[in-house]
Amino acid sequence: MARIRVSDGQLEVRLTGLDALWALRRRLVVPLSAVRGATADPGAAAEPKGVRAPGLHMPGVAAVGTFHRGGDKTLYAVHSGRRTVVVQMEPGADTAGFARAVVEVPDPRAAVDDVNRALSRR
Amino acid sequence: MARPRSFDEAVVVDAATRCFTDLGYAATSVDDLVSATGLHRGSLYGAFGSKRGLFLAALARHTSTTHGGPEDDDEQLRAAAERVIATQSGSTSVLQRVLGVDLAESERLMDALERRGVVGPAVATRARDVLAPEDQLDDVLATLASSRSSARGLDLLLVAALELAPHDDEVRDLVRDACGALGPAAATVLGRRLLERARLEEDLPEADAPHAVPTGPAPTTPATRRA
Repeated sequence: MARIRVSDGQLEVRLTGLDALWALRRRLVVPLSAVRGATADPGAAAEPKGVRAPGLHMPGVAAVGTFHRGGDKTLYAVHSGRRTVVVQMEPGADTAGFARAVVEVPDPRAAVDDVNRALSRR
Repeated sequence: MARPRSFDEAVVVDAATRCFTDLGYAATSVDDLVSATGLHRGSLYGAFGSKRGLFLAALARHTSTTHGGPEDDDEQLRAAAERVIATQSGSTSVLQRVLGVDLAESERLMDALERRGVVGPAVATRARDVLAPEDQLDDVLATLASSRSSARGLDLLLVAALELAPHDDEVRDLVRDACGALGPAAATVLGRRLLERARLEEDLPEADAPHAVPTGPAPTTPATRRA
């Protein structure tokens, strides 16, 4: 599970519980200027994820960590996938090279609205 | 780095528009968009950022084609229709004077109005008969406005107004602009399209008795609003 928080022109994806351990990463903080949008997308958890480094991948059960596929670096933290949110970024030094975060959050609708509202005010 | 784009954005946006108008915004999943556009999920996100980004692209595309075409022409035709119906006078020379156009232009406008059933055919140089009664002014204006935009574009505008505009400032601004482009009859155009879409247009009784509308408690719809 993860949490998405928007404040002070920054977006923070915080991994909770054991996810932080598997991913060897507790959080990813990127400036809002590097964020392109957020979408509630349960189907994204079922996509082929690519090569993990580092991370945990038990297909159908959990995917947690950094994955590389088709030139894109993606941070995954999904289990059942039902409450998955996709945050698309402009990959660069600002985002530690990440193009996307695909994470499960407690309330996807609220998280997506928060991010997109912050973006439209920018 | 991500691979360069190798798809036609217009085709993708049109396919997405069909999803959004057929299913509604909230009910369209990214899976629906992926299968409708034939793009990979990653390319879709890479190009548009989010489902909302894709919706905004669709809305921008359709509201800008609403603007397209000879706008002055539409403006003139609308002014002419308004003038002719309001005064119930089909005189070409009066129209010429009021709108400040030359004779050929006012003749052309009159012919355009004739094609739309507003005035009768020209008989020598006499003023034409006005076929549309005064109380049909709104109807005629609405028809003129809606002929400029496609049904698909109107559907998208309806979806935007219903689902996103209440809590999304950017979409609200786009909807406001699009309504502005439809002119003073925007509400009639959208309302008519809404009924047509519900396949109710031709079944509706003639609204000659507005008091006949039942004044009971307003029908409550299930709360489908997004939290």
